[in-house]
Amino acid sequence: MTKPLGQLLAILATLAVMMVPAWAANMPRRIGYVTNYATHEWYQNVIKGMKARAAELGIAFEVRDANLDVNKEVSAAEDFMSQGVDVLIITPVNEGIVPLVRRAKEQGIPLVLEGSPVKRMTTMVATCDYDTGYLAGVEAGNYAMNHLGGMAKVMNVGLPLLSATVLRAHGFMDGLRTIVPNARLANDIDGGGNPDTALAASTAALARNADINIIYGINDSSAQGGLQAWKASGRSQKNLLVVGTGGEGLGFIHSMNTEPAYKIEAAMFPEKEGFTAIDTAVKLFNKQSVPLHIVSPSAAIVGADGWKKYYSVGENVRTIKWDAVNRLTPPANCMKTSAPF
Amino acid sequence: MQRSPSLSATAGDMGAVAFCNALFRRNEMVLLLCLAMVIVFFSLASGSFFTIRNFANVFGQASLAMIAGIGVGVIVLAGEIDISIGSLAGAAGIPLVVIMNNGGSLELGIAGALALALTVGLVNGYLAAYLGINSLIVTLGSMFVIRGLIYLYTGQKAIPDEQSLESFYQIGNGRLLGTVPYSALTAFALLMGFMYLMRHRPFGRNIYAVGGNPEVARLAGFNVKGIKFICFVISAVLAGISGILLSSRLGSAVHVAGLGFEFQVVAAVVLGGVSLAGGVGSLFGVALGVLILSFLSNGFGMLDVPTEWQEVATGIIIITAVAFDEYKRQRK
Repeated sequence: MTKPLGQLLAILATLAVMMVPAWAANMPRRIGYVTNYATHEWYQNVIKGMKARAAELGIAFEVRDANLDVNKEVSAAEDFMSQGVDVLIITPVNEGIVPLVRRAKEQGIPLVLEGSPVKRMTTMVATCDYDTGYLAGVEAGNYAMNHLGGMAKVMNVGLPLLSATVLRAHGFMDGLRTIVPNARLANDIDGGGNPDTALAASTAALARNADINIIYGINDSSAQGGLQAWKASGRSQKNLLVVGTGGEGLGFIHSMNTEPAYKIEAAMFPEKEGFTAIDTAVKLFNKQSVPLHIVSPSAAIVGADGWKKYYSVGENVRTIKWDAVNRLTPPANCMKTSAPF
Repeated sequence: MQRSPSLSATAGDMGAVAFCNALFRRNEMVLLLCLAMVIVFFSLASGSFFTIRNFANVFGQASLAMIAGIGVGVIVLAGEIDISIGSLAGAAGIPLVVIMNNGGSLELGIAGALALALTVGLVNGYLAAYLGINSLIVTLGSMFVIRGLIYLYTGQKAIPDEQSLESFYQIGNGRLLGTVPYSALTAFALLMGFMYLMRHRPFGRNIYAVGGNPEVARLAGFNVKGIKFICFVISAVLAGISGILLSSRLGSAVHVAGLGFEFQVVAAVVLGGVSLAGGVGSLFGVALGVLILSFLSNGFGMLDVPTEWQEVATGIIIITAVAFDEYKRQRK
């Protein structure tokens, strides 16, 4: 009885050994990623997620930085194509990569976009901007009902230039109004998406109208700029709520730890977006069908310790808790999108 | 009389030293050597570097800076500067794409882009050459004016090519026999034409004379203002051509296209040995400067050198090249 069992095990072991190369053959050897702005924390964490996943799958992974120059982005992608990468991932600087999408198709190189859509793309991995704002808006509404006397007068430190950030702000207000129907957008300002402009614009806005009790930032820098302006004007944070978006780096964790009003973060988990982009690259390499928009999850983090569910922090480094983030189930489709499809 | 072997060897050594000195006095030879070193280094460092496909890529990518660099080279040789070329290259795409989107042909779009470039060149040239305003100030001002107008017109959004004209796609992305980019061929043809103009035609020699010493040139009867005026027009039109190719590469008129392009081009011109004081240098040197920077960028990318370090290295290379050039001039 033991002899046939031993033979069966030997056959299974042989089959398993034979299967390994077959499985490995379905992995791309090299993936090239052209990021639009590697010095920004968001993209550094996207890259971190990509590197971790690529290493896990045994894929050689290389990164080039366009540094917000679309021509440089096209050149970097051309270089990758000429080097024979198996799959290309790009975070578009803007729509200027459309001809590149065509060339990648002509050369048979699968292309995954991260973050922003462009025409003729095969697929894109991105969070839902509207939904992210909406989730945070609902939590902000609950907070307003419990701590702000049911009043919600919002200053949106926005970035009207980008449709994605406009969607976040719309989502936030819509989510907020599901709980506080008479919530009002008191100040809608252009914070430029960076802390300096956000501080300057918020200071000016508060000088005109300080009758607000919620500051919403379309990203963390905007929320922090708005809060700094509030503090600089000598006002107390007692009846204020600050909501940031992105969770791009350590900044929001520091703010949630130290600023009494910074209670909610609309986290978008850049590491997870990078992780999913690599998985999508593998699928495209294997000619599997993928949806046009693969939604990466987002979640509203509430309270000073809320971030600890998803991150641990060492010395100037944050580490994502993959188990918790992977448990988040993203929607199949966004409630609203600006994508051209 | 037979010379002793030792004497003969000494004479030979001296001959070799003299040959090397003569060689190094030619700036282009030094640049060619640098380019060869860059290519050899990256070929050894990366297996993907020394391939026809990669070289074709680099030539295609370098063509935009090469075309604009010819114009900037001409104007710097004339003793002036034009830093509005980046904004102008970005702006040229707007009439091109807007005309095409409104039912016009590619040819009409190109005419519109060139007309815009010509207008900017005429204005820059008039202000700098005839009104005598410092060309750095004039073109700095026009750089901001043009960029501001681009933002106002586009609402800070790209204007896509809605017609998807194949000919528009091909001029910036197409390749002869599937290998040599048309944009590289365009740059090469323009380089040859302007090198001939600068070396063998009176107008080119006049530019060197005006750039070398405008006062002497004026006393010698040269139309200094007229020559400088034409150089501004040349620079602007070539920036416009570069912008047309850029727009085709991007398939749209992108509002941020050409941002910082002027620094890239001026760096290549300076690296190419063209004196910012005017009158010294060559367009061949400019072409080599563009190629060195392009191959460096390509090679650094292949070696995964972070952007920050790439910029540091490029800056050091430019300063070293200019310092070496200055050292040679002072020795002369």
